Amino acid sequence: MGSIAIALEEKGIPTVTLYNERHEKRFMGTILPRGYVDYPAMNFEEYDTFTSEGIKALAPEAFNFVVKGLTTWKPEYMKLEGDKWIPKEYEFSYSAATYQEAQDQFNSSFLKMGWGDGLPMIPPTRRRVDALLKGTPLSATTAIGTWGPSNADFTVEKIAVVAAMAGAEPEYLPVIIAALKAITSVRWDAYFPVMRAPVPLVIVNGPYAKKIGLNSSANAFGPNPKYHANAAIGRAINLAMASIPGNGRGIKPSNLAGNPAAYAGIVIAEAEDIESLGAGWDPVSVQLGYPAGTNLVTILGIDEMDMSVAGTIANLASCIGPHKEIWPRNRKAWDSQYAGALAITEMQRVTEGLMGSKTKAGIANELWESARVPMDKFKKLILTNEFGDPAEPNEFIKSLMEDPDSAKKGMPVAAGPNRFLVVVTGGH
Amino acid sequence: MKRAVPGIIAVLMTVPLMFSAGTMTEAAQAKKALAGKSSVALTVLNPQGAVKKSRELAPRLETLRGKKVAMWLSATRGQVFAGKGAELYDLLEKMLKEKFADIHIVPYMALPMKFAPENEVVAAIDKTKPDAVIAGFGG
Repeated sequence: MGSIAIALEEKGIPTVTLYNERHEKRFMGTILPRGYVDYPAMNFEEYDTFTSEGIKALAPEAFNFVVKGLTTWKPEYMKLEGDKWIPKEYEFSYSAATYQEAQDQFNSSFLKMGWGDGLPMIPPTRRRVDALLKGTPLSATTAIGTWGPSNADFTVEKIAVVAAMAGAEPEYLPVIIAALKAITSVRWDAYFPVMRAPVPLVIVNGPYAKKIGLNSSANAFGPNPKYHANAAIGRAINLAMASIPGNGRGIKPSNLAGNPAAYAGIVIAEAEDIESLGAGWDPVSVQLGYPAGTNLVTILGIDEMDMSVAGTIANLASCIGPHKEIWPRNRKAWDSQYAGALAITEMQRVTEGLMGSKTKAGIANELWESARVPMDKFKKLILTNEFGDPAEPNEFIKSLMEDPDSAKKGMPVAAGPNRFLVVVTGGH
Repeated sequence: MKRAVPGIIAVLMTVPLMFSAGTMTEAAQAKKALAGKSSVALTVLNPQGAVKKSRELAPRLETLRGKKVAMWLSATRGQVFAGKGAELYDLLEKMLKEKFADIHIVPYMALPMKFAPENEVVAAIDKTKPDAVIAGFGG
């Protein structure tokens, strides 16, 4: 629908688009990347559009929007400055009888504008943001990348603003910036967030993780009052992804089930200082080619997690099903795409040297082999057109299917075992 | 690599919800009592990033009076993804005609009620030579 509206605009015909929120990400994902940041579109709460009463109630607002969108239209929240659309307001003020009431006003106002996750936010005051900026040597105006449907600038100052909202400390900022630099280096829709809700898994290696108190021990994936950094960093990253881009207001959340990990993110540090771990247990940073001891942030966009305490490699492997929308269409993508990460949480066995002859590579190989998908299932999942009818494979997929191992053992879900990251963290 | 835990892994618990009907009203009254006694100002920064301007929208119309407006609906009434978009279009058509007496509406029934193939839909809309288009409701 978005590309049809744009085709008409390019013919010189003004258009305005109305839709229910189910289509927000798809529509804006079409309009905004093409540069139409100021396009007049109105979305409605989905349930309001499902009943005649709802439709009657929203009709007057829709009518006013249609008239304005086709005649006197000007974007509500952005203004032009040079060759950039910038927010109309650099800052917002809230006045109240008490600080608590002003803070409540700030929270409800930001949520209304689409900035926030529903949990209370810390007000990003000038003073707090300046304090956070002391955590990085980069200047506030440095843009570390552009990202989101509108390709918005991720400047250090805007990142510090959302870090403040998330409750981060200045020393967390380098990790947040590094994570967002990695995220903004990948196109917004490259990982199919149009409909789904992937959450970045953030793996931190190196001594800096310990210095700032990132948890790599008990309850690494969950709250631990002793370690504040994981949740604040994860929340800042997710708030940044939802708040900094957009078209004047935050990105609408997924219209599917969503992902609870989008609240505090999934941020873990690798336990690198376990003496009993020797050869074959190099940290992720080394696996990726960096010298041991490198402070490194690694990001993996994931949309499924198995946190089962009773999991086995085979059980975990069954979660790594191929997704049609992100299945690589050529050799280059196939060779570079990671299929997932496995966190080894059985720390008691690890620290007591009870892992036997197991190595990270061996575990990754077991996972890779177990994750193969029977050919019939693969065809049903991947080789269909948009209407669900069978479709022919392209040359690359055909070559994968013709591999003797694929026919015998099933289709692999990644190019090789090294396309899985194995991380040691958390749990006792 | 994870510890095996045999036996029950989930327990279903239900607890009836209890709340005081007056609590929310009292909270609202307390807030109201504070209103108008401003003494604290909280100023916060906007998290929204800047965006490079790269494209221009088609020029907008001065008015809808005397203009031809095509109402393209991307779905038929039976297609659930569009909700009751057709009912909204019916209401909008009525409201537009009331407000702009000489407006000419190309009704959605006269246009393809689908969103693909795109070039086919664009050509069908363009053929009606509209001055403006209302698009909706999904797809």
